[in-house]
Amino acid sequence: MSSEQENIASAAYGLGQTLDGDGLDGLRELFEDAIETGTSAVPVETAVFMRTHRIRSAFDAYAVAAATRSPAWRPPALVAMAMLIYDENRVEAMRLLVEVIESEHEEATPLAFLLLAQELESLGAIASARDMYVGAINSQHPRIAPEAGLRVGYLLIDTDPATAAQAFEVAELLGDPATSARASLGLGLVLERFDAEEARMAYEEAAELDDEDVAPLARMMLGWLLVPRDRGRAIHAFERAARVSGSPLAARAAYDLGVLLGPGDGDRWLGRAIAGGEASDVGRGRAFLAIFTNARQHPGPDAEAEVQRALRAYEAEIPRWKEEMRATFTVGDDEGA
Amino acid sequence: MPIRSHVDPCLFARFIYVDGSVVSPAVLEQIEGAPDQERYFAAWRAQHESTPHVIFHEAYHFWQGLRLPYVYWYALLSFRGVAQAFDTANSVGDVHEWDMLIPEFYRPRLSYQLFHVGRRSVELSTRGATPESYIARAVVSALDLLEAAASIAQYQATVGTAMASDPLAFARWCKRTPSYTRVFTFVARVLESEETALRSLLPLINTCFRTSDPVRAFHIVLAVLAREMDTVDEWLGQPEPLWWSGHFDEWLDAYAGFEGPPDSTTDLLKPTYCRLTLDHWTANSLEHPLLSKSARAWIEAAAENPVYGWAIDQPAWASDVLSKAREDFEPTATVVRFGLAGTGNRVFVMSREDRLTYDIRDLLTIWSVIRRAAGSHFDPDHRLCHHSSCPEFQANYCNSYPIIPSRFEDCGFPPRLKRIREGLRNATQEKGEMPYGAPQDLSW
Repeated sequence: MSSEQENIASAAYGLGQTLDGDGLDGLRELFEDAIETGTSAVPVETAVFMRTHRIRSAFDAYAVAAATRSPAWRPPALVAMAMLIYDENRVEAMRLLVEVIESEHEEATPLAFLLLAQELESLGAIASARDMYVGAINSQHPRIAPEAGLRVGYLLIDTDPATAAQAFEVAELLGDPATSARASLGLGLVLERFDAEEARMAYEEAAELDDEDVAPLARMMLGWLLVPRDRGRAIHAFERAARVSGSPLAARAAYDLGVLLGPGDGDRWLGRAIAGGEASDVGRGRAFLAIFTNARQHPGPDAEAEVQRALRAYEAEIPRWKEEMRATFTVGDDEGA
Repeated sequence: MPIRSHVDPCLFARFIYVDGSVVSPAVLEQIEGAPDQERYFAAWRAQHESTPHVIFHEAYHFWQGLRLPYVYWYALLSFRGVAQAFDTANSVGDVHEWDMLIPEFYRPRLSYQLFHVGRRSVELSTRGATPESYIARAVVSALDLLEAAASIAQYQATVGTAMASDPLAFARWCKRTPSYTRVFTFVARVLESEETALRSLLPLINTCFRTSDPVRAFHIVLAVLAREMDTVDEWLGQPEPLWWSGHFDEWLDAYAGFEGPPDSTTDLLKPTYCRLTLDHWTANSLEHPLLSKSARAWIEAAAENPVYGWAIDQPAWASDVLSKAREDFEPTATVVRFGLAGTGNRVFVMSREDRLTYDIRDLLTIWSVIRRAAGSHFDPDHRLCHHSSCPEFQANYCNSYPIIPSRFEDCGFPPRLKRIREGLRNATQEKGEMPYGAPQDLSW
């Protein structure tokens, strides 16, 4: 590979990124900047380069970079081309990505693994998707490996919890705080089936990372996990979730908190759930509030028995609520890759 | 932001913007009321008398297009690019989606850095490199040079021979008249003489526009002049008009390092550095719709009266010829917009039909759309129309279309554009080529 070819590849790839990001405005800015600063040679050379290589779009620019067969520039150029044509020609996009995973490019190869995995997952090819995600995880790429870990963790959470747990651990270890929080949450889900104490720690870790999307979810899951085991800590978890103003889960947490605090202390929280909750929270909250009011106004064994019945019914519903909650979990920002 | 009157360097139509709030009652009387071409012309004549400096300045830009080979060459080839871009974009149905980059459009605005690095010494940079130390820096483009030349020409034509070389009078004039003095100031500093700068700058700039890279040539000629300053005392002591451009041409031949024979390039973006000649380009089969006929007429006039040959280099000493030129070589097309608060704009177009090669309304329609789509040679505030509720107003693809009806529903821009597009499609299909010359790959 001659240095001239490397220079062509580098320039074409850079141009592709400019056009990819800002379109023609990116190039206009280049010209305006030169007008301002007296560096006319720069945009002129860019324009001559475009003319020489017949570049009219970001795709053309990446294609020029790829055509040089530079080991440094061809793989990222192919990935960029795949992303550009993905909507119109998915088969060709996947063909390009397959070529990239056969290279050993530090950046492009992990990304190609991840993109292929997502595509295979969307096609229902779970085993192949898993292999691709594992390829991305094995790259140890600081951004892509945790993302892949997170995605494969949620993909396998029901069918292969052991692998899912490993994947979540990778994501938790390598990811940024947001990814780690999601991974800890996923880990908690997997571990609940085997070890409640380990699951509790995972949920607590997810909550402590204080991600505004993940922390309320983690506190709700933690609270439900603790209801039959440690009601005091469950109350604490629900209270923290209920106190986050603006959180969509605050009213739901207020309902759980009100129920657990019982007649008197719980009334205020049930009132919040009724005021700010969804229809189902409002209905449930009103029913409990009526039971609590009756218990306060007409204390006695009958009223106490009614409260206990309602509490048992509440606990019986927790698994269903957890399932519903799990269905709302998202892996993260789809454009994160 | 108010738009300045201007002559664009591609189509070479002159746009005159008049702020209706500052015109005389006589002008106002003519332009208010129902549209009427005769009254508009009367208003224009009255306005002409009250702002002769603006009218001369913009007329001088038009003469630059007729007389300076680079400017003519650029206009000729870039307008061919406009036609090509229009043809290429024509396949996209909705004109409001036209978005293109024409790098060649930027060429005259692309600037270089000039550094005054030591006593009478000047360096050029185009890549951002900066000398270790320097006294002054100027960022200069070909358009900056044209503006600097127009301002000096305007001054010298106004004051006449007695004060044409007087820097003090020039400084006073600049305070009263909007003018481009940045290049003059830099040159005066390098030459260590405002008087020599004032005497030499206009012919110096015009000489440089007889090459394919005027700023590069400007650097060379200025550097040589600065170096020779100590040795030309006797010559400088002679009265004007000196034959500056003859010397500058000799210096260019000796020091410019031209890369090709004269007129050997049609590449607007990165031209071979060479001489350009009017004789060659005005004899070319390509026609510029507004310049070619007038440029040839000026060459013929110069054959009969040699003063026409140098009149725009030293206007103070060619006042008779320039007075006549103001009549004979009035810009081929002038669009005048009187901006009136409340009652809307009054716009009219004046054109010399004998010097035009196409319908000016068609040309302005094409130019409107392309300058807007390309985003260069275009100020987003440039518009002639006041109908803000018109669906075309916001997108402003009609920015230079000069016929503004009372009701926007009656506007001729959309149907004219449609007709041109259909006609062009048919012409291209039938002949396989564009009007205004063969297609050239200029646009993205």
